Amino acid sequence: MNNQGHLAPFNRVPWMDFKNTGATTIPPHGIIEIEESERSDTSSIEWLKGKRPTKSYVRVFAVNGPKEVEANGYGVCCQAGECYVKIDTGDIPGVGKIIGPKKDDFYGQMHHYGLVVTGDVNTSSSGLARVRFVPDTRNVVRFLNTSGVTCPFGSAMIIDGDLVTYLGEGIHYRIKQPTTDIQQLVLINLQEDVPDNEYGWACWLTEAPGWAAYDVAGGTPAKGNRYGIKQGQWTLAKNRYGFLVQSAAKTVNGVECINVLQTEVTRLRGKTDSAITKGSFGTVSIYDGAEIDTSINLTSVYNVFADLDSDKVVFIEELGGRWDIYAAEC
Amino acid sequence: MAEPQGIASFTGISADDFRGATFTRSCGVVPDACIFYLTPQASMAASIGTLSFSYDGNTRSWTNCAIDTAYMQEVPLVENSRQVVVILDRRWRWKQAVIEIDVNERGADGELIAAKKVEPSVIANACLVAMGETGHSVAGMATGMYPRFKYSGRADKLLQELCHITAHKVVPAGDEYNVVQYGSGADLPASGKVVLDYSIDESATPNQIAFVAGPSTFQSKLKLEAVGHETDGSIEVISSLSYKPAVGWEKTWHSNFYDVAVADRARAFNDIWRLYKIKEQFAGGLTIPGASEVPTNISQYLPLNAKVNGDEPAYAEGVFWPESLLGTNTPAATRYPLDPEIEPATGLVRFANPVIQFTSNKPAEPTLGLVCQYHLKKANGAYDAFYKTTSLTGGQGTENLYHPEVSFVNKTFPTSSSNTTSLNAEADVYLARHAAKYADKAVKQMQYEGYPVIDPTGLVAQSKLTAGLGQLPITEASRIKEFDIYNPSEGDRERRVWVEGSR
Repeated sequence: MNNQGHLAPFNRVPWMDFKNTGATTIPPHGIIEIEESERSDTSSIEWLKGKRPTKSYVRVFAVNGPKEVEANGYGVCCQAGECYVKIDTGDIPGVGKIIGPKKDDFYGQMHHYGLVVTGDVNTSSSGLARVRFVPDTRNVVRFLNTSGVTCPFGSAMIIDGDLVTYLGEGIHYRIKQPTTDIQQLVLINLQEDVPDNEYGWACWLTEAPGWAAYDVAGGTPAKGNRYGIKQGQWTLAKNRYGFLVQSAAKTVNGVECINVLQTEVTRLRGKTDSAITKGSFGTVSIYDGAEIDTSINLTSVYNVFADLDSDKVVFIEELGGRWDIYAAEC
Repeated sequence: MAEPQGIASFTGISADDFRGATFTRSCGVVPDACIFYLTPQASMAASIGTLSFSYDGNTRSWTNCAIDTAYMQEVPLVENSRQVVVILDRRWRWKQAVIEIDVNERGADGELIAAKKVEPSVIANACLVAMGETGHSVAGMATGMYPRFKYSGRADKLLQELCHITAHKVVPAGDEYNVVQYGSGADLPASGKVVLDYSIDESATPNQIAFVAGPSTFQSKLKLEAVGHETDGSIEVISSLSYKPAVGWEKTWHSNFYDVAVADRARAFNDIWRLYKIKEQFAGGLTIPGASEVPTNISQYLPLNAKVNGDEPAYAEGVFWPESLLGTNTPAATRYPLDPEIEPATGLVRFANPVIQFTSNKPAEPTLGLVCQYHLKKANGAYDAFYKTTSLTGGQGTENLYHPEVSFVNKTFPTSSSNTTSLNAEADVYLARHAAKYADKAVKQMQYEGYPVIDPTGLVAQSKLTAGLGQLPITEASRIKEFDIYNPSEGDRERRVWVEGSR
C-alpha cells in the first residue's frame, strides 16, 4: 500500500480507554479526574474510571480525546504528551502558563497545576489550547484534617503529630488550624474545602511559590510583604514571618489569595516583655522589619548571655527546637 | 506444325528434359508451387535456383526458388513416365525468419503511447526485411490503424496476422512481394480471351462489419458507505448490523467498542469504520458518464480496477477526521493519506485505520469517495464496449472485428478526458478497409497468350502460367476470387501458417 503522507499526530499520543463514571457528559478535550482503573474479567481489557473533577487539585487527572463521552459511556483520554484542553475563555492563559483542573468544571484553569500551555490558544467560544502534561515536582503531601472544622482552599495548616500511614491512604500528615503564631514550615491546602476527618493534598511552597489564603483585614498585599500564620485562623496574616509575597493578590477558587514562597523561620527580631536573667527563659515580643510589634509573643526564649532588662531589643535564633537570644541591646 | 509452346526452366534442369510446367501465383505468405514436369533424372544439379517461363522472346523469372519434392508419375498413352518436381517460390524461406516486436501499446487513457506508435507499413516492412526481402513495397498500405503486437516468433505468421487484421494482401509482384489494400492496383488487362465474366451477389458475405473494442473503462469517484460483516458473513451497512450497540456507533469509540457485546467485539474491531463498500456515483445515482446503458445495480460495476490512470493505486478522498489532536474534519475532497485495500470482485474497500468524521463531537460516517476505474457489465451480461458498424450491400450477418487491445476510456474524475475522437478515427479506418474486401464482387476469369506480367494485386486474385504439355503457353488470371481449384485455397494456406506458427 502506498502512503501518500502521514496521518496527524493522534496516534503518537498514548491514549487510554476510560469510562465516564460521573453523571455529566464530558466534552471533547475536557479535564477528567481519574478515580481508578477497572478491568473486565470477561475480556481482559482495562479502562480508567473518570469523571468531572471534584477538586481543584487532582493528583491523577487526564484530558479527554476529541469525542464527547456521555455518562457511563466510553472514550479515550491521555495522561502524557501533548493534547488540546478546554480553557476558560474568561481568563485566557498565555504560552508557558501553567493550568490545571478546577472543581466541578472541565476546563483547564489558571493558577492550577498539571499542564503547561505550549501554543495554539484559541480564544473563540470553543476555547482550546495546546498543552503538555508537566509533572508536579513540588513537594506535595497527603494530609488528614483533624482540626474539627472544614479546611478551605489555601489554608495554612500546622502539623499535628507524626507522619502516619494507613492502608489505602499511604503516608500522610495529621493537620490542624494554627495554634501558634510562629511555626517552622506550615502546609498550604491545595484543595477546596476539605471537611474534618477527610483527606486532602497540600504543599510546602518551599521549592516554588503557590497560592495561599490571606487575611484581607490586613490590607492589600504587595510583592515583598511578609505574611505568616496566626493562631485561630486558616489565613496568613500580614507582617508575620514565614511567607514572602511574590505577586499581587488574586481570587483563586473563590478565595482571596497571595502568591507566596515559604521560607523557614529561624531568626527573629523583638523586644523583651520583661527582664530575663542569664540562664533563664522569658517572653519576647516579635517585631517586623519596620520595628513594629507584630503582636506575636514568643514565650520560652532562653537568655544564654547576660541579664537583660525589659523592653530591650533582642535577636533570637531557633536552635535545636529552642529559641535563644544571640544578640541584645545593652 | 506444332503449336508454339512456352518454355519453363529451372537452374540445373536441361532444356531437353523439359516437358511442361504450371505455376499458380497467389496472395499470402505461403509459397506458390510450380509443378515442373521433366524426363526422369538420376539427380538434380541444384535445389535452389531461378525459375523462368519464356515465350516469344518474353521471359519472366523468379529467383531463389527451391525444390520442395519430386516424384515419378505414370502418364500412359503419352509417355511412359515423367518426373514431377515441385518448385516453391522464394517465400519457402520466409518461415525460417523470426521477429521480435512490441508496438502500439496504449496508455491508461486509451491513447497510443507515442514512442510505440507505428503504422501497419512499418510492421510489414520489418517482417519482410526479417524474411530477407529487399525489393518489396509497403507504400500502398493504409494508415490510421494501430494493431497491438507484443510478439516474438515467425515473421511470416506475424505478417499474415497483420494483413488479416488490417485487411491487406501480400501479393507477388514480379520477383518481389508487396503488401497492398483490397481493391487497389492493376486490374485484369482488357485484351485477352475471356473465360469467365460475371458478377455475383454472394450470400456468404456479411451485410455489416462491426468494430468491437475491449471492455470500456470508466474512471470517476464512487461514494463509499460504511459496512460490516453480519454474524452470518453477509455484508450490511453498519446501522443495520445486529451487534450495533444500543447507544449507537456514534457513542462508541473504535479503540475499545466496550458497548458492543464481547462475542461481537472482534467483528466490530475488524470492520467498523474500516470497511466500506461502493454505493453509487459520488454525485448520486448509478449512471456512468459515457456508458451505453444505465446500470440498475452497483454490482454491474464489478469487478473494480484498483487503479487510476492505469498505474497509480486507487485512492479515497472526502471529509474525514485526519486523526489530529482536535476533533476537526478535513476540508472537502481531501485525499486520505493511506491507500485502502480494494477487493475488486466485491467492491469492498478496507482501510488500515478506522476512518470517521466528527459530527456534534461524536464519530460519524465520513463522506468518502473512491477514485478508481471500472467497467460496466450490461444487463445482458456482456461488458459495455465501443461498437461501431458500417453497412454493406447484400449479404447477411455481421463480420466482427475484435480489438480487445483497444477500448473506450472515459474519465470524469479528477479530470475529464476521453479517447473517443482517436477511437472513432481508428475504427473508421478498420471498417473502411474491411468493407473494401466486399466492395467489388465482379468475378472475372481470363486467359492471355504467353506470359504478360499479370500478377495478383488488390483486384487480381490469382494468376497461373502454363508451359509445354502440348498446349499453347497461356497466362490465366481471375479478379476478386481465386480460380485454381488444384491449388490450396487462401483459407487453407492461412490455416497452415496459423498451425505451423503456433508450435
